[in-house]
Amino acid sequence: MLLFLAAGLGLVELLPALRARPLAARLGWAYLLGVAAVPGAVYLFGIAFDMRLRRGVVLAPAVLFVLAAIVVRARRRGPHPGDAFRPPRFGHLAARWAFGVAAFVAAGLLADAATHREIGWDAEMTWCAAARWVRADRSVTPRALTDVRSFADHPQYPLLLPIAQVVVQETFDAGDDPRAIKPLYAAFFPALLLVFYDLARRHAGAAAAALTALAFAVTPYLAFERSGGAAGAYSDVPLGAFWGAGLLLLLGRPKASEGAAAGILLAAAVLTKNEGLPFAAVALGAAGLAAALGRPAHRRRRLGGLALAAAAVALAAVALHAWKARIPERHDEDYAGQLRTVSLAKEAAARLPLLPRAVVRETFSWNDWCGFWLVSGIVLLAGATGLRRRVVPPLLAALGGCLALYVVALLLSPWGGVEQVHPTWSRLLLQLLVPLGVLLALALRQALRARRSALAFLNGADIIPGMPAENAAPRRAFGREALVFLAFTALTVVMTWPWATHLRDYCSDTGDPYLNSWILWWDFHQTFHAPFHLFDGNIYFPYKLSLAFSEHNYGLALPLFPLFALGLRPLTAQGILTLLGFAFSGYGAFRLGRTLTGSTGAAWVAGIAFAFVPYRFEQLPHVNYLFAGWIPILVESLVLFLRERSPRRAAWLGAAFFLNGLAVVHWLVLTLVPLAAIALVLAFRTGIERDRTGWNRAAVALGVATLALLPFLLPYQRAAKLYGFTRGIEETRQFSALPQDWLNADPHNRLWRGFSEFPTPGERALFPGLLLLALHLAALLLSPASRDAAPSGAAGTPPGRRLLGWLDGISLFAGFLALFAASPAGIHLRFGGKEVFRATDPARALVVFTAAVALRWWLAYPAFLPFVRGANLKESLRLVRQPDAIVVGSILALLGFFGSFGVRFPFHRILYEAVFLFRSIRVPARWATIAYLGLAILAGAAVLAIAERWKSRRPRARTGLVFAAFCLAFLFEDRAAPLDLVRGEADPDEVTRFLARTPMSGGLVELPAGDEEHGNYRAVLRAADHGKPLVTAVSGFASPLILRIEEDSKKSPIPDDLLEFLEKIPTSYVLVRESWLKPEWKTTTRAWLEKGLASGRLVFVKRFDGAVRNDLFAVARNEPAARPLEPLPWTPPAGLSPTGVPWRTDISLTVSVDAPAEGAGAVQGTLRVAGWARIPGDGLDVSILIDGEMRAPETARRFPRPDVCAVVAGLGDCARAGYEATFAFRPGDAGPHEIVVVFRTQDGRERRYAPRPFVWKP
Amino acid sequence: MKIRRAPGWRAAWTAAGLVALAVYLVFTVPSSLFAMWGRLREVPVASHDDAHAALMRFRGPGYAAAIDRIKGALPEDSAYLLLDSGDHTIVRFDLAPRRAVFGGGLKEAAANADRSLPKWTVIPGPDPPGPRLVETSRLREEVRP
Repeated sequence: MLLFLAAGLGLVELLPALRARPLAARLGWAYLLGVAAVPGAVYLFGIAFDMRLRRGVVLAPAVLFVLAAIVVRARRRGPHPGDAFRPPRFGHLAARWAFGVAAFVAAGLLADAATHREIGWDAEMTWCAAARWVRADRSVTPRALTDVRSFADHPQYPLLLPIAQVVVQETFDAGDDPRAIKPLYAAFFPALLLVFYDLARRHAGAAAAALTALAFAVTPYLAFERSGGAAGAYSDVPLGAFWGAGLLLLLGRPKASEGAAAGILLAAAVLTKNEGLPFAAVALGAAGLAAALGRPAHRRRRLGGLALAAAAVALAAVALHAWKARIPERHDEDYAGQLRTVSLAKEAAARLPLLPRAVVRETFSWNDWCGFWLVSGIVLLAGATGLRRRVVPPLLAALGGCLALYVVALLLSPWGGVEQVHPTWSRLLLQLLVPLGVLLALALRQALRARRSALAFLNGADIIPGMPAENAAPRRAFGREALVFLAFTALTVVMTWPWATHLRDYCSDTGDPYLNSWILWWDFHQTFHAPFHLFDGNIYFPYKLSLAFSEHNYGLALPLFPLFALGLRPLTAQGILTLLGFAFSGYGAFRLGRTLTGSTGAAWVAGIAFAFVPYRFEQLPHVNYLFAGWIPILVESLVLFLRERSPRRAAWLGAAFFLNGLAVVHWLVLTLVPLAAIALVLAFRTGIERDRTGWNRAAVALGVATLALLPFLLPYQRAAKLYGFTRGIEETRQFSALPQDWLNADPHNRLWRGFSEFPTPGERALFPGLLLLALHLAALLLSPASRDAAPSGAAGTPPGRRLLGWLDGISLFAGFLALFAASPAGIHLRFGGKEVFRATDPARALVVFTAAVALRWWLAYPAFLPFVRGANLKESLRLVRQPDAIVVGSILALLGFFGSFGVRFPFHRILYEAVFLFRSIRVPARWATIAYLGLAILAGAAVLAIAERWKSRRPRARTGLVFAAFCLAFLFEDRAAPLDLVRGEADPDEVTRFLARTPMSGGLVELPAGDEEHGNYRAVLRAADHGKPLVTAVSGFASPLILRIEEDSKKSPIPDDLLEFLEKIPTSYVLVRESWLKPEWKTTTRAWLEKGLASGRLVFVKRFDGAVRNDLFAVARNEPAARPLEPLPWTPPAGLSPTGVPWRTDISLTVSVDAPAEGAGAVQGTLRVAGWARIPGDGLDVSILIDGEMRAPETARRFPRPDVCAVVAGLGDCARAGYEATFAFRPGDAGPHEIVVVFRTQDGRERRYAPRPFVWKP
Repeated sequence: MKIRRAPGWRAAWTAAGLVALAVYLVFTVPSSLFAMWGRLREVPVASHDDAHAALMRFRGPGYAAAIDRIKGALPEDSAYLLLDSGDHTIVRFDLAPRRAVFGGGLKEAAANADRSLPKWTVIPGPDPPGPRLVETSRLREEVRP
């Protein structure tokens, strides 16, 4: 690498136009010119004079260039034009960043080159193999290429880079280790970026060029790809650098020296890859076009440079042709020959329609380009006006010409054309990277120039200074809102990495995500099949209303309907919704934060804090509880309505209320109290409590919304009545948080995951992160009190003392009652030996106490109450002077915090007792989501206060930096990526597809049912694929039917009446997933099935899904038309003995199973089963069953066991007493198994040896 | 009191372009830096490997040992018959500059074993046991009935 750099610096010294550039740029040019010129010269001389490539020969060009440079430099004297290392034209901030990042990536690439031997498939196939042949024969025409018998792929590929490898190896006497030559390729990465920056800066300015170079530097395909990118040893990056740099030099106004440099680079392109020659011709053509379109004054100079370059290209082309003439063609595509034999028009008609899709797939491959070309497209559109430059038409001509050549090559390719897009398209983009990058930089420059209007657009929601935020009428443009949402989506992709790359079939686990997938699918399916029976799901057959056994998620499923219509798998839809749940939660909090604070920066802080709060990651399996975006939007709609009680705002309030309830019933219930509290406080503090018109509007809107929600709520009440489904208080208590749970960190969180008790309490790891806790204090301390929230002084007419006295009495009585009822003994009043009053539960007394106290305070505070402002609660509310953000945030945070303690604390306990809706809440700890929203709003307000204080001290400071810093801090603290995900079963298996097309009069029972490892979740997911009634399901409640099946199927033996029970359900099919049966269940299940088969009540239909072994049985009573499609695959009932009667068990048969030994545990690799079998006078037949099935052994033999005869008298001839069989391990065998060895006599007796369990390992 | 006039669609497009680029950079810059930091951290561990150790780490110990054995048996200047398999390109590279003569599949090569083919044949295979070197004249024994 240094060798080429030194030679290149010598060359640069000889080329005045390049010599004047800054050192950083000169280094890039020097490397390209060094690699082009030194091996290029060796190659040309090797072809012309057939020189032996000894060290002296390969070093000579480099030495000559360096010496010539020294001479020129010595003659010129004076200071060097680019005397110091100056990334300082890199003075722009973006350029410094780009330079730093690119340098780090380049260092990583060089480190990779030094440590990893991988060079990529094509490099091994062609270039690096050729380099070894060249070096061994010391000739550019080695025997391996010239000998037609030698096996060489692409023998006529040009050898510039292989010769460069040889130069390196000869110079440093390096061996064959590929790591010796990888730096040669890795160094093209920084060289390409430096040269690109130098070229693009001239056309598009420093900032745009640097940002584009930065984007290049972090593009995965360029930086990390071994098969084409800089991390391998392909020739595409070198070709892209040579060709792009040569082209751009010619499209400037090239001086003679620049023309010469362009010629060297384009000649190098010719000698680098086969496409180099036509590309170089295209470049020359584009330069000719530039000369023609350019100013006449510059034309002569352009043509001069062009002539120099053309001469170099011609020389390289002639030399390459001469070299190829000596290499017999084989194992390669002959495009010219193809052109003569095939019809281009015919191929175009056949192949062209297929190309766009393949090209789009490659261009937008996330793994390769990470969205780079999508972003480039958007930037090009954004800055399209910046492309009105003279340099653009020739650039487009050059790109178009290369693309046309590529398409023609695809049309002529003997490999089918479209198939070639995958390995070649991204590499073509690398080859065209420099001119594409210049176009991108030009567009970016235009976009950067217009950034002020763009920022104004993005900040359009902000109210101009001096205008109270509360009074503004925010009419936010859809586009801006969409961009905000997109930004949250992008952040979600990062924070949940790598989920976005595996959206199709990955999920957090294979439990609740499967159930939610089914729910979403059912919402879609039933809406278009039987919308009036939405809740009659196809699970829990024959129960009705099974959708009401859990959240219906209808509001979440609605936006997914188009995706389902397009054929998206339910699990994929669930994954997409989960990621959107993060983004939408963030967007909702952003909106609420913006409305409350009037600051976009504070809104970003609130949005990010709420979107990625650690608890949300804990809810990954529960997309509905993760999707909390409607809560802040509902609160925002309320705040907006309270500010302007117009019909439009009322309608939006009703709509938000409806959508929140339609999405998640939990959030509908848990937002009721916070909404009422916020409405109460804000209404009284602003004095609008007497606006009857406004309240009527709100009542109508909320009433209509409630009515609209009733069809989605009443089925829950009906299901509860029908099946007696209610949450017991003990179950609810289990999911009520303890105070210490607020310090339990979610295990997903990378920063705090050690800070949790073990095992982490389910859904009770509520720690929101230190920032969120700290900032809410800052919000309370730093936020200035509002000036316009002055007390009205109207506390209302003091109520009569009598009423107050009554209320005091009631509250005292209820308080005492609650106190004594809470005692261990409770209250028991007896009269005449008979209990007339009993109170052992304080809840109801607490409800009365709370109501009485609240009413008392509303009317007038007791005189003794300290620290209160105003005469009563109403007046106190008017005296609240904190900003809206603090008030609303505090209400949400406090209610959510206390609510999370559930029935352990009076707040939720009272609601639980008094409001029936709250009894449906199984996990009160989910109140924490309400608290997080409040804390997030407070955090936004706190950061706003900090930013304003900073601004007041440093007027020239940018407050945006404060917001950005806190946003980044939240992202850092909340980070959980990379997430541990599992690959779900997105696609239906074979048996599911069979069931989907099989008519069914009853339901489907899947066994094993409800086992600890899998539950019934998979069966529920598959119910979304076959659409048939499923009996053995899982949801929020368990049915007695399922409990009976689960319990009976695990008994040993399985009760005979289970089959009758299934017949009565009615069950149509029983699906036994053999591979999930534990060994102990396998025996009992098969025995039960055998009885069913023997009695004709079960019919074996078929075994599906290979190693999974899905055995489908029809229940004959309910499916009389079912017929077997295959014989039973496992050992059937014993059958008949040779004597024509059934085998009879005889445990007196003396036999043995020696291997695997009893209690052996694990067996690794080949399984060996051995022992002896002999009774006096009879040699026994031996059958070995693995999991009840016969399997062909790899080897099997009988052999003498004289030792047995010696010990057991009277056995007779023991020549065949021993037996041994071996079984090879097959894929899918890993796991627990059971061996049963069956011994049979000739006279119809058999003995099944005790099952021998073992764990099989590969 | 006035509200700032909303910028037009051109501003929206510009904003979209700049936001898209910013999001792209926010996502890719840290991930690139992390990835490269990982590679830099490997330098002290892996850069001391000699060529054999590097090959062993990459292709497996069986493969590396087999290649070393074959290299020892075949002079650099020699040719060998290379049989067809998914791995033959890799083997040809690791044995270069020895020249390969393509032999096709095992049965095809065995059928042609009497002709003037290189004395030695390399049968590629993944690790373990890696490629094998057999005498071309004994190829028929390799063909199972």
